[in-house]
Order: sequence, then C-alpha cells, then structure tokens
Amino acid sequence: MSDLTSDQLKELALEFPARYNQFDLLSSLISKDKTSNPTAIALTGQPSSGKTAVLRRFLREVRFSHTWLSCDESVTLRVLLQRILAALRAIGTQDPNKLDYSIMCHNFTLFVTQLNDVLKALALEEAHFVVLDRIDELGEPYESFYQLVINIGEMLRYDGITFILISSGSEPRSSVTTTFPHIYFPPYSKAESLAILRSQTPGSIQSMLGPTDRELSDVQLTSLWSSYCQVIIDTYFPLYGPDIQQLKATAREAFPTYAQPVLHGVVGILPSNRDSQSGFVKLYKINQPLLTSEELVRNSFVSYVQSAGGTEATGHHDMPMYSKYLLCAAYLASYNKPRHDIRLFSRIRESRRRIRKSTSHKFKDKKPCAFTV
Amino acid sequence: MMNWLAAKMGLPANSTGSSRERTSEQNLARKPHSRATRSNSDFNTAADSNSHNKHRVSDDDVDEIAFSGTHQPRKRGRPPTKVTSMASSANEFSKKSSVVRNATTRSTPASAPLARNACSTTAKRSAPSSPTTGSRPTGSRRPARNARTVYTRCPVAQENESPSSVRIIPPLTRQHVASDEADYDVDGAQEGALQVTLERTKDFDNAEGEETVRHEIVCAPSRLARVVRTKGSRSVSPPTQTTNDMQHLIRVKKEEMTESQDAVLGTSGPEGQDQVEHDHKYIASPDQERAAESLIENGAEEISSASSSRKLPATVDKPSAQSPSNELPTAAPESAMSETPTPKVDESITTTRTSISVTSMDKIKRRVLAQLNRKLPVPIVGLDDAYRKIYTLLEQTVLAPTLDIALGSSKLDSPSSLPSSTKFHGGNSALLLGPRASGKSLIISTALAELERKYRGQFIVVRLSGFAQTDDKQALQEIAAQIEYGRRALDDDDTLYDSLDDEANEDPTRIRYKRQSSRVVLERLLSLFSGRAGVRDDNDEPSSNQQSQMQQPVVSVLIILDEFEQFATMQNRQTLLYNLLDVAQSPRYSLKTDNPAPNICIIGVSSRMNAPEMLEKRVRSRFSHRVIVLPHADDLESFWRICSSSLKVTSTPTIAMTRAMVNARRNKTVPLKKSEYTIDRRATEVWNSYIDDIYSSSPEIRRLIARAFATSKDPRQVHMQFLSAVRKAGQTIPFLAISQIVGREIDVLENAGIMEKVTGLSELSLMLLICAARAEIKYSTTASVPATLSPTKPGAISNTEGPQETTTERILPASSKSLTYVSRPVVTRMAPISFTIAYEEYLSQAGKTRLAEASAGALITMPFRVWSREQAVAAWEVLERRGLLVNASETLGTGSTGGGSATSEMQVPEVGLMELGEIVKDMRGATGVVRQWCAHL
Repeated sequence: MSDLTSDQLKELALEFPARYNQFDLLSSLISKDKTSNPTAIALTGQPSSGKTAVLRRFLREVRFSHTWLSCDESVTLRVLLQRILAALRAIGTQDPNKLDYSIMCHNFTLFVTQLNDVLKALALEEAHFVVLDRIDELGEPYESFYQLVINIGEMLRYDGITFILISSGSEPRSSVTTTFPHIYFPPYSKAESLAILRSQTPGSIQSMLGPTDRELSDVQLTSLWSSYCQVIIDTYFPLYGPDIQQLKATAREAFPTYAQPVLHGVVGILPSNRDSQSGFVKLYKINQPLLTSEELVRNSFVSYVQSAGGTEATGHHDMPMYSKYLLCAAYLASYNKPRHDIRLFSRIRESRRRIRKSTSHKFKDKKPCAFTV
Repeated sequence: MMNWLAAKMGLPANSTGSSRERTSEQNLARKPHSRATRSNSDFNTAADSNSHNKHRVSDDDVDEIAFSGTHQPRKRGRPPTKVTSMASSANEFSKKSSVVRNATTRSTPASAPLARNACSTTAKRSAPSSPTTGSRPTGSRRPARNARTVYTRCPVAQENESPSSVRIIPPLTRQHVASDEADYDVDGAQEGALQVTLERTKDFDNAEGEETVRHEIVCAPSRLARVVRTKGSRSVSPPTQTTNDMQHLIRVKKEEMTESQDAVLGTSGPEGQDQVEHDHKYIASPDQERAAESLIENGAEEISSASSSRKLPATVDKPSAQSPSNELPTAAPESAMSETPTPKVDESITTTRTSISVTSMDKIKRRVLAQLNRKLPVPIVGLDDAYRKIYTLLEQTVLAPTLDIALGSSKLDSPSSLPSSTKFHGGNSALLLGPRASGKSLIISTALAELERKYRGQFIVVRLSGFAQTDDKQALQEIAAQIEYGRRALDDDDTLYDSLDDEANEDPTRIRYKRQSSRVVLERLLSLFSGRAGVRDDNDEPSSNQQSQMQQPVVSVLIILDEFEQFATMQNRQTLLYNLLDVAQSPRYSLKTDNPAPNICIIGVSSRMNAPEMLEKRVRSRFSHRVIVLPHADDLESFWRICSSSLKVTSTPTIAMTRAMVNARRNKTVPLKKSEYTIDRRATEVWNSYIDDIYSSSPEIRRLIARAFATSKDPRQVHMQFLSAVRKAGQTIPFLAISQIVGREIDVLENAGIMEKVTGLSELSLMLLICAARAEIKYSTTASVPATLSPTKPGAISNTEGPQETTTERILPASSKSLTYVSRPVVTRMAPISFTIAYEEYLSQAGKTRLAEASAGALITMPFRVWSREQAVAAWEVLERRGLLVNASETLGTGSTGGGSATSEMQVPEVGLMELGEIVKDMRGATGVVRQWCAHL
C-alpha cells in the first residue's frame, strides 16, 4: 500500500542519517491513492533539520506529482494564493513552467472557489501534492491561511489534493487544537551532525580541495576528511548547535586551508592507524590558530580567510575621520527626545538660539557612555 | 424588476441548452395556470426524463448507486409507503413526514395519477434489465422498489464474475439473487432468508458460508492454520494436532455451534457481534501465519472447488445484515438493508478467521485511512440525542414547503390562521457547540445525507466556513455561488423538478463577480430565497406569480455556518448574521403578505463555548437560543468506542459515507461500482474484532488511549497514531504492528512549545539565554546594578526608566537597602534585558568557569571557549528569531520603540531561569557547564 519499498527506505535512510523515521512516516502518510491521503500534513522542526531535503528526496524517489512553492518568495498572501492556483492550472499543459497569473484571487473565498474549479478541470486520477515550503516566512501574517489550509478538506468538493506545509517555527496558536498529521524533525545531536558531515564521497572531498599538486588516494582523503569533521564538530558545535547548514558551510570553507600541510607534504597521512593518528595530531597543531581564532566564522563581509598563516585580520575597521565624528554625534543625538529634534537640529536660527541654553543644561548630567559600533 | 422578469422570460427562447428550453416551456405553460396543466407539464417532463433514464440504463449495465436513486424526487407527489422500512427509532421523523405527505395527497387529487405514472414508469424502466420482475403489479411503492433493487443486483452478479475465478455461475443464480433480495426487503422475513441462504451457500460456497471453511478443514487436515469458526465462538487449532484430534475438535465445535446458533439466532446484530468479538483468538506463531498466507495465495481456488462439492451440514446462517459498528438506528435505512447481502464471488478467497484476502484488506485499508483522514463520515457514536435534534430541525425546514402546498390547496383562505402552521413557523436556527473533533461536522453531514436521501431536490445546502469567508461580503458571494451550484445540481439531476421560482433564474454567479454594495447583494439573495420579489412589484405579473407560489413549493435553504464565532467577530457589526437570523425567525405567514417567507434554516457550528454570548443584542434576539452542546466522552470505554468508530469498517457504507464517496467522484463519468464500496462482510468482522481485541489485549494501546483521554479527549489524536500502522497493515492477524502505533512523532502536542525550542539551540545561544534569565532576576529583585556589571557601561538601558530608578537606589546607603526592599513589593516588574547586559553576564560566568577549569588542571580536554561578541550577537539574534526573546515594548510597554539593532533593543526572555534549569536537566547533549549556570545565582 505504501509507495516506498523497504529497500528504498533503507537506502534513503543511509543517505540521510537519523531521518529513517521521517521517511517512514512520509511514506505511510501519503500515497498515490488519493482517497486515503489527508488534506494537509505538516513538517515541523528547527531550521536546517532536513525537512525540505527529506521531502524533496522523498518526492523524487516515489515520483508523486507535486507542486513546490516557496512561501518566502511570496511577498503577500495574495501573491501566494495566485501562485498556488496558477501552478495548479499549469499542470498538464504543454509548458508547466509558464504560469498564468491573469486570474485574480483576492480572498480566501475566491481561493476556495477557484481551487474547486481547478480541481474539477484537472479531474485528478492520482493524488497531487502542493508543498508550501517555509510557510512561516511568508511576508504577511499567515495564521488565517494556515487554518484555512488545514481545514480545507471540508470545503473542497473534489478530491485529490494534499497540502504539505513546511514550517520551522512553532504552529500558530489558533490552530493547535485542530489535530492533523505532523512529522516532526528533531534537531540533530552532536553525533548525528558528525555523521552527516562525514558522509561525503572521496570525489566530492577532492573537489573541495580543488586542483592540487599532490594526489591523495581515496582512503587518505576519507581519513583526512573524517578527522577534519571531528575537529570541526568539536570546535563549532557549541557555536552553531544543530544547524547543519552552518556547520557544512564552515567545514567546506576551511578545508583547503586545513589540508594545506598534507598537500605540501609537511604532514603525511598514511593508511596505517598509528601513523595517521600522529599525523592528525601534527596537523591539528599546525591548524590550531585557524581553529581558535574566529576568522572562519565571523559574520562580517569585510575579511575572509586569506591563506594559512596569512595576514591576520585585525578585527578593527578603521573609519575615515569625519565618519567617526558623525557617528559620535549621532550617538549623542540619540539621547535627545524626538520632539526636540526640530529645535536642536533644524536650520532655523531662531529656534536654535532659544533652545541652546536649555540643552547645554540638559547635557550636564549625562555622562559619556560606551558605545558599540 | 419588471423589465428583468420580462427579459428573463424572453431569454430562454434564445438559449440553446435543452433543459433550459424545457424549463421555459413549462414556465410559459404555467402562465394560464390551472392545476391540471401544472401536473401535466410535470408528467411530460417525467416521461421525458424517464425515457432518458431508460436509455442510460440500457447503455451501461454496471450498477449505479441506489442511494438517493434517480427517481427519488418524484416521491414528492406520491403517496408515501415507506414508513415500514424505516429503522425503528427513526420512526418519529418519518411519521411526521408521512403525515405531511398524506395531507398533500389528500388535498391534491391531481397528484395521484402522477404518482401512479411515476411508479409504473419506474417499473418499466427496470423491466428490460430484470426479466423476473416484469410482471409485478404497479400502484404500490414496494414492488417498484424491488424491481429497482433487482435491476441493481443483476449486473453485479455478472460483473463480479471476474476472469480469474474459474467457476461459472449457473443460470439459476440470478434467480436466487433476485428472490434473495426480495426476501430481505421484507422485515422479519427471516425464515425465507434462511432458506435462501442455505441454497445459496451451496452455490456460492464460501462467499457466505462459514460452513465451507469448517468443512474444508475436515477434508484437508494437513493444512496449517485452520480455524474453526462458529457463530458464537472461534478457536484456532494448532497444526501440531493430529488429524483425529482435529476432527474430534471439529465435531465438538460443530455441536457447540449448533447450540450457540440456536441461542444467537433470535438476537439482533450488535449483541451477538460483541460476543463474537470477545471470543476471538488468534494464532501467534509466525510459522502458522506464513502458512495461512500461503493458504490465501495458493489454496484459494482449491478451497472453493473442493468445498463446492461437499454436502453441507444442516446449520443455518443468520442474515446479519446489521453492521457491527453501525449503532445509529437512523443510519441503517432500507436501502442499506437491501444492498447488504450481496454474494461476492470474487472475494471468496477469504478463508480463515485470522487473515483477510488481499482485495478485502486493500479495501479495508482504504476505507479506514479515509475515515481517519476525515474523508469519510463514520457512524455516529454516543451523540444520538444531538443528532436527532439537528435532524428534526433540518427536516422541519425542508418539510415546511410541503405544508405550504397542503395549506394552499385546502379551503382555508388565510393560511396564517391555521394552527398547524405555527408548528412550522420560523425560528429555524440553532447553534451546535462542542470542542474540536467532537463530531459536530459529522452530525451535520450525516443529517444532510439522510435528508438528501429522503427529500432530494427539495432543499439546497449552503455551507460557509468562517475560515474561508473572512468577511460578510465574501460570505454573501459564497452564498450566492452555492445557491447557484445547488440549483444547477437540481436541474441536472432532475429536469422534472424545476425547483426555484422564476426569480431565481438570475445567475447568482454574476452577483459573485460583480462589485456591488453588500446591501444590494443581500437583498437580491434574500429575495431568491423567498419568492417575495414578485410582491415588491406592483404590476399585474405578481398576481400570477403569487398563485404559482402557492402551488409550487419554495425550495428550502439550509445554511450551515462552520466556525460560527468567526462570523460573530466580523467587523461589519454582524450584518450577515443579523439578516440571516432575521429571515430565519420571521414567521412563515404574516397578515401583511400572503406569500410564505423565505424558508431557511441556520445552524451555526462552533468550537467556542461562548459563541452565543458573542452575538450582538439585536442579533441575539433573533436567534432561537437553541444551543446544542456536544458532551465529551465520560469514561475511557466510551472514548475508545468513539475512537474505534473510525478504525472499524462496515461492510456496506452508511448513507453519509456513500454520499461522500459519490461526491468524491463527482468529476468522473464512470459511476461508482458496487464492488468498489462494499467490503466482504467476513473480512470486516475479522477486522473489527481485531480492533476491539487490540484494545483489550495490548497495554500499550490502552496507555495511548488513556493518555489521549486524560489530556485532550481528542479522538483524532488517537487516529493520527494509527495512520501509519493502518497503511502498513498486513494480511494476517497482528494486522497492526504496535511499534508502528506507539511512539511515532506524529502528534503536534508532543513536540510543541518552549521545550522543543530550547533543545534546538546551540550551546552559545542557550548560554546567552540563561544569562539573560539570570540578569533578569538580578535586575528585578535587587534594585541596584550588580557588581559584575560595571556602572560605566549601562548600555542602552539608560533609555528606559529602569536605570533612573537604579541610580536613585544607588545613592541610598547600603544599610537602608533592606529597608527599601521590604517596603517595596518584591519583583513588581521584570527588567528588560539588552544584549549588552546578557553578554556581560556571559563573560562573568565564563570567567568563573575558566577559573574552575584552571583549578581542575589538565583533566579538561576541551577547554571552555569564550566566544567573541560578534558571535554572541548572532546567537542572540537566533534567540530572537525563535521567539525565546520578546521585545520589551510589546510586553512591558517600555523599552526602545524598535528600529534598533539586536544589540540595543530591550528584550525579555520568554523562559525563567528555573524553567530553563528543568529543561536543561533532561536535555540530551547539554554539558555540565550549562547545568551549572542554571543552578546558582
């Protein structure tokens, strides 16, 4: 009855560590048979816990017909409603990517009516899935829409459509009492994060390194990468936590620098166990400045990791002189109440002169404060 | 208005649609206006539509659903004879209706020939497909109906003869089926049915016969996993027993069986079923299961061929058409009764009591999943009282126009003086309240389906939902659209019954897309309901219109307002509710006009208990104050009964279910086949008894149910847990794996809330949150700045009033601090925290931790790392995004008025330090350092 065989399920679970349960639930909740599907299911969990990836992979595996819509690309609810309808209308036409937005949809009533019309026209034989990704990042409040979607089954006259809602925030409070299937994606633990980071093929590790002088064997690459992942997780898991995307990005960014000594032959990595251990320690010692400084993970756009042992970025941003003064002035001005603005800063002399005394009086009891830039 | 009417009269001449033309002809014919022409025109159309129907019947001999059969609307003009067929407890309603209809017949003699005609045409229509019943006498309802059932039956027998089954049905079979049907129709004709069953078991071996199974065991004892099934008890004989033992056992069982059957025979379905379910046992050994499986796959045909040649023991089978979970009396109507005992040839694979054939299992799964996913209405459990109330109200509304006919054709000139009219006078409004998933929509849909079966074509349902119709204008548009839809449905189904008044012919969809003031739209719509529109014109037209309305009933409009409270909170001063309720409560007849008022019924459905209080005064006074509150389940057992009603299946779907199935396939041209919606009865029995068994035997399931009962009393919470297990159900008896049911992360309540948010945080974010909580405590209890924070760095906090207080406090001598502490109430206000303060706290805590580490020496492998301010800001922003920090201006009304960066804004942590400590204590992967930080302050 479920569309995913157990072999497929096992493969998928290998591909996505710690997500066996989610695949299993997905395959048992939805199927091609449209009569037995719920009208809405929700995928919830922290950001970057694999909701989107798992669902995409699942839909690819089972080949359900579906429409994928990212809600954060829609500025308003109205845009989203129109996009849903347009995407549904485009099913089965010659060019499914060409969407027709000519029919307006201002409100929910029209949405339901038009959805009924679309479903009637489609006459779906199999279930169709509308994935609303990141529904909590819609430009507008989405609570009412959420409630509409999870209750839409009673309003539709035609069967065959299932909404899949992906949200990383918590559910809107107004719809908590309405029970419908949820698939929860728990945050990855440290060990699971490590497993995910490590699951890279030698080819992709090589491609991260780029063109190198010295060729490393697959075994060497794998052992280098797995020891490196351990280092990354130990160092940055306290900072990023279960956010696997950040961890991956960091790992990818620093890897060429980290592997430099190996490529230059300073540290040799051998398949034998003891040597690779000692090699690892040596490598770690060399790379310690990279890992202990926060150069890798800084959020600023200004400095990047140049090269290993390169010029150390200072962390200060030197500003032009006038900018400094302006900044200080702005800070001081921030202590004035807004209603005094026109008196203090307007160009009309009269008002300025009158106020000047009182302002100087006012500034007396203000001490200069620290000021973060 | 005059112009509009005229234009409308002229319009159909140009239109090309045939149905529209017919309508216009009728309209024109009705103009001269005598009763005879009216009925004539009706008859013409009847004949017309019948010929059309006949054509269709001969075209496709797959069977259509008999539910709300196509001839049903014609019942309007026909003497009712259906009272006997009603289930016992539903009688009061049907009696009421029959009284009304009798009145109709008595007073309108012109409708009698019409009725006879209708009957004869019905019989005629079914004649070509059923040779056995061609010569039935006409003039009464029952033979006609029998003819119809036969017509629906015969193709099934032919069709079910699937290519895979080698047996050929003897020509005798059809006869049997037909007589079988006829016997079942008569209530209490058990003996006849029993005889038939006996005969039939010979022919259809194990379609019905439990005997066959038993017999098969006797003659092929080497097979594993056979189950002897009797009416009252079942038992499994293990394969290790020798043949002799088994035969002995079987003999014993046979004796038991005959006894128990004697006892059971007279009892009705549910009690006997209960007994059966509790005696159920199943095999546990995997070997036996496998054997049973192979039995299904390989031995099916063998069994059927082997057992068909055996002589059957002279025991009888009770025709228990009553489905086990079908506890609602009204949900077992005559059509279901007549459809139930269909001999299913292709499902004779079902062999033992521990397994279900592939096709049946597939059907069961589908049905159960659809029920769990709210796609199909289930039988109502424990809410009969509320259901009856709602149903009565709706039925009254639907019947009111029939009463109008009676009144109009009676001698009384002023209908308002008739005492019985007060019985059906306005005030048709009610509120159905109950928590979510308590069965409100189920009651409504069941009642509507039942109404549609009985009074098809006499009413239009308008369903609005507060979720979709967010303001009055949209609601009006939707009402217009749905009335149009309902009207079209009436037209399509039945050209005989041109239902609405002439005024209704304006296309409401035009209203939908036109931009008009809501007042205009509302006025139009209400005039559609009422037929008052004609009165408002003072020309010569209305007089004839009035007459036509006297004879032609106005179609009742049933308005269901889901999420009623949303309509009550609408900004527009509840205009919609006011107007609707005003129409609903106005008396049907007044002295001012002779025309009946619009005939509508309004049922609000809400999950908010205070919904009636939300109405404005003027709206409330128009509401009938009929509030029906659905109760919760009282005890665990009844809660399980409610939960299991969705898990069990009935072999024949209930009326409401069938309607839902038909509606779901509305866009298909192929009608729903009978084989698609009926399930082998034996399979359903096995399944249902298993479901009961799982509750009584498995402690895990009991715990699950008990937990749901103790927390939310939401049956759907239980249903969600069963979803994946049902999808993966196997064919042998532990159908559902307990591990699939318990412990799935499918319930929203288990993973919602602060706890889940906190567990997903990185260590840095968590530490900052803890520090914010610490700082909050420091600031709110002691009025001075703590020593760890340097006074030179108050940060952005100096914007608020808080620091001003702290400065005054700081001036006070230390000795008087305790005094002020006592004099002021403790923790009067929470101090908002900025990032700077939290980070200061973080640094101080980190310093302490590092000190401790340094003293611990070389034992620490990974030293505690203090992250820079920049990283901390990012972590702080994460907290903000997750909603763990709330902007102080929102909660306290103080703080900066937004616009600042994350660092300068004043925030209040969502969780307190103690709460955090509790969460962290159980948290997976929390380090000792974090726990320490939560601990002391």
